[in-house]
Amino acid sequence: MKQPKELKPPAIPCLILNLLIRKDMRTFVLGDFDEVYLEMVETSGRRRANIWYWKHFFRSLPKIFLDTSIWRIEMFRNYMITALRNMKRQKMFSIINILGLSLALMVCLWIYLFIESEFSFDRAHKNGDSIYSVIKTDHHFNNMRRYIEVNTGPDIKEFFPEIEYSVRLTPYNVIVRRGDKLFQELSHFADKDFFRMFSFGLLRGDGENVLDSLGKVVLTESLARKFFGREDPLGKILTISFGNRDDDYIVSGVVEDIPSNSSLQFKMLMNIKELNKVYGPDVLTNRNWSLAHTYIQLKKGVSPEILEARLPAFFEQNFSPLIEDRKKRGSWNKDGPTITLWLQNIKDIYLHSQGIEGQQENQVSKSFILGGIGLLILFIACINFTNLAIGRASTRTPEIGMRKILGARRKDLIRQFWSESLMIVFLSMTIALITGLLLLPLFNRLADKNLMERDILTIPHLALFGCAAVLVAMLAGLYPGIVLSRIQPVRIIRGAFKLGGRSLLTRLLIVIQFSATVFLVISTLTLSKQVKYILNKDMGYDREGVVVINTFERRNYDINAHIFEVFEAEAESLPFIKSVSGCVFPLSAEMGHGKLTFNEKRLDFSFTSVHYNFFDTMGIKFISGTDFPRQLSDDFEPLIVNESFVDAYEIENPVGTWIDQGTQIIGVVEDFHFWTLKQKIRPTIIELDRRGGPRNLLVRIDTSDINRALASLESIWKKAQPNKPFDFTFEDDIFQEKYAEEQRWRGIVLYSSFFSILISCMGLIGIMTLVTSRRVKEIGVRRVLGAPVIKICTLLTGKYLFLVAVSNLIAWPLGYFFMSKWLNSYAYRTKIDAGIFLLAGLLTLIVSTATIGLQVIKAASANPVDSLRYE
Amino acid sequence: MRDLTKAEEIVLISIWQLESRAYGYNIRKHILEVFKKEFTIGNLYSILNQLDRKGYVSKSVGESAGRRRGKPKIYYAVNEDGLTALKTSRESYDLIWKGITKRAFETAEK
Repeated sequence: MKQPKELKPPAIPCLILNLLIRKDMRTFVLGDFDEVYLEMVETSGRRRANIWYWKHFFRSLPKIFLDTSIWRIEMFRNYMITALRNMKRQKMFSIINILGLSLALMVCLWIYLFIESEFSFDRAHKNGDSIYSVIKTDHHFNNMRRYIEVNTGPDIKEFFPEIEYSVRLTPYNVIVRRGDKLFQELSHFADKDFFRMFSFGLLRGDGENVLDSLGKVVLTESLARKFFGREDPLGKILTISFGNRDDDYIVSGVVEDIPSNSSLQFKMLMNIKELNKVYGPDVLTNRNWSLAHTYIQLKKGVSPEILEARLPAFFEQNFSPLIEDRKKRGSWNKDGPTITLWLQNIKDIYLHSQGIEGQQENQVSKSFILGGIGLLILFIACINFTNLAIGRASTRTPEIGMRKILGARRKDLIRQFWSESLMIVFLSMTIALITGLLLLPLFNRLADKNLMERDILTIPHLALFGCAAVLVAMLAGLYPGIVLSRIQPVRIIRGAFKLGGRSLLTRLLIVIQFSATVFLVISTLTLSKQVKYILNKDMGYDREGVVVINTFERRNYDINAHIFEVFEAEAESLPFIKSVSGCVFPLSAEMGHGKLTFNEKRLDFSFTSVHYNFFDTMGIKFISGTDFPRQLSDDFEPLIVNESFVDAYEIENPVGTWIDQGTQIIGVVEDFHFWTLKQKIRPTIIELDRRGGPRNLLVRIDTSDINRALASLESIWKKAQPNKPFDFTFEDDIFQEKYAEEQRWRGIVLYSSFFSILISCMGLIGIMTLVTSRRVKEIGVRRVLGAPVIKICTLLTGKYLFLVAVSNLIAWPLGYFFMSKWLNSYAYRTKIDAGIFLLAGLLTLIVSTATIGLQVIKAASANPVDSLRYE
Repeated sequence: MRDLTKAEEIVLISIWQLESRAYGYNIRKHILEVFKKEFTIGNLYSILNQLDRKGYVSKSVGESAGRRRGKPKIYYAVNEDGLTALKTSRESYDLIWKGITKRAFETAEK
């Protein structure tokens, strides 16, 4: 027998209904549900009754939901009206709250956009999950490279039937002629399946076949506009030169400009087989040459592990020259495999490429640090909100008491304060969004991004910002709500209720706020100091006035030699060209590196190839020995090493020492910084580039008249190479570019600490206003009894300045810890000294004194008659 | 005075007709039997709450007898304002339909 008690309706809808229906109507409505249900059980059985209940529940749901929210909206309107009145009555506090929150939210908005764009890299590819980049790790030389042997692309596809497409990608500088205009452009070269693998939006052209044959070129929209203006570029002819030979190419497609959140960037794309014209016919099958990035797309459902397991076998089969070479040197698979290939998903390329050559490091931690800064500033603004709400509680107590007497429950009051903070936060969010968009250029400059208004104003974004606003409002309104709703009406009537300004929590929050601010200030100062250190450090060479001229010739040494000769000859008659040299890589850019065993030591070393006159042109000083002589004997290869080389390998008389058969040290130069200051100067070997002329001309000019010098350099260039554009950079610009990241960070931290000081001080003003207004009578009495204004000022501000001082003491060790950790990532670094801390402390104290000072002086010097008139 | 919607009118009339037996379950059943319209319980209460907000009904909590698992009923009654509203509604209907007989539809269909 069934007990009637067990005849419960289905639990889940019952529970949801319980939650949704207005509290005062809940039992009645559920009673009706039960009545129908139990009747159904009797007439048609339990099962059908359950079905009915569920069905009816779903059908009722919309109306119940609507009904409940209508009820809430009524109350909400009332809250809003009260909140608006309050805001109007206390304009200053509202302004502090809204301004502070707007600023903080704007910062957070920016940081969110930054992080979002960081994590959105390469997500747009339709087949992204199955596209991988092939990377070569060399355990012997301890490096990872994305540029791998050029034959890998086709070979890997042949070896693995699981691969759908393989695409090689490599850049090369070309000269484009359109009419009588010359353009120098960086073009990329790819295998024909490029557009089948990657999803770049093709605007014009024959689908995915745009690269299928030679003689075709694909342009991005903006490059097409640069060449053709408003004309339709499709099918038009471009004359492109890879060196000295001009060829005509047909524009076969136009793609959308590559979004900034793509790690593959190109403006111009051609079939990779065009490179035969540059490097010779066997270039794409040359197993010796690391020329291209290689990407593969796996067939549907193939997991990369299957491939990775067989990659060693593939390597053995296809990299025989490399393996032979290693075996000859005895460094092949001595302790485990020397070289391994591995696959990296395209989505990981941007964020997780630490250690791979030519890649930026630690992208993820950047996002974390910025996210932390954003939350810190938001927290500072929320503290203002909380502090001011608590401080103002006394003005709200009559209202709260009244509401309580009229039957508002505590929950209702909390909800009311939430609605209030919601209103303020939404207002701030709107302001933040508008200013954030107006100041977008500033953001783009600071963050090195290229965001547009249309990327930001999307519906998912706006929905997200809305949700964030609700969350912030909840956070900011939580504590005031709890505290204010605890007030008991009886105590208010008795006048026994006092709150704010003096409470321990307020003080604690102020300390937290200022600690965060001081921390940011310390970070700013340390960062600035390090950047200054970098820019002012003697790098061991003189980068001022060195012009780097790109000859566009990678392989044609004869042309380079010709250019070099022309420049050297012309320079003799021109007084403002001091010297001419050349190198494979500009000094601040990159160098080769490896391991060298010498003097029974096996150490990391770097090497680079330069031209005659290099040290003179770059201003690098010799310690001993001489520069490369013009007349070289064929018996041996002369080398010049740096100081670190001599020290590291402990060479006693370096000049004349034989490194091995055929290479002899002829000179030692002072250390100079090729790399960033993050790395210690390595033992470096500089050899003479004997293949012909240099790829990069280095010219030291007289900086007193740069324009004239550049003009005559260009005319010399025209003499040497009339058909090529004159393309130059300053060595100093290359150098600055290398530390652009540090300078950007300095900007970011500078702005963050500026905002946090601003917001914290606004909060302090608010608190001070409260304190002075509450102590008006006390001040009056003190004045009457003869206290001087100064004394009253110190009395009022002393406690708060003390709090700021305490914050300093908390922030100093934190700042020291984190900033010395950051500095440790530099091999050459400035010191964190007491000056930074004192400056941070002084700055916060002075700024906070200045902000509250005016108010306090006003309050202290007010006529006591006004404040005591009614006593 | 705020106008009645058609659904509100139906519910209000049902309450009036049911006199002292007007609580949720009965109202719903009445509407189904007399007006041949099925209201979900959620819908019914949303209308009842609306009528309550407009001030046309009075409520009283009743007994929890019957198959309600101990949950009380809530009885509704049409108050004076409600009656006035019904009256106004009736008058406006009369005004709207004035001069149109049922036979007019038959001729219109032809």
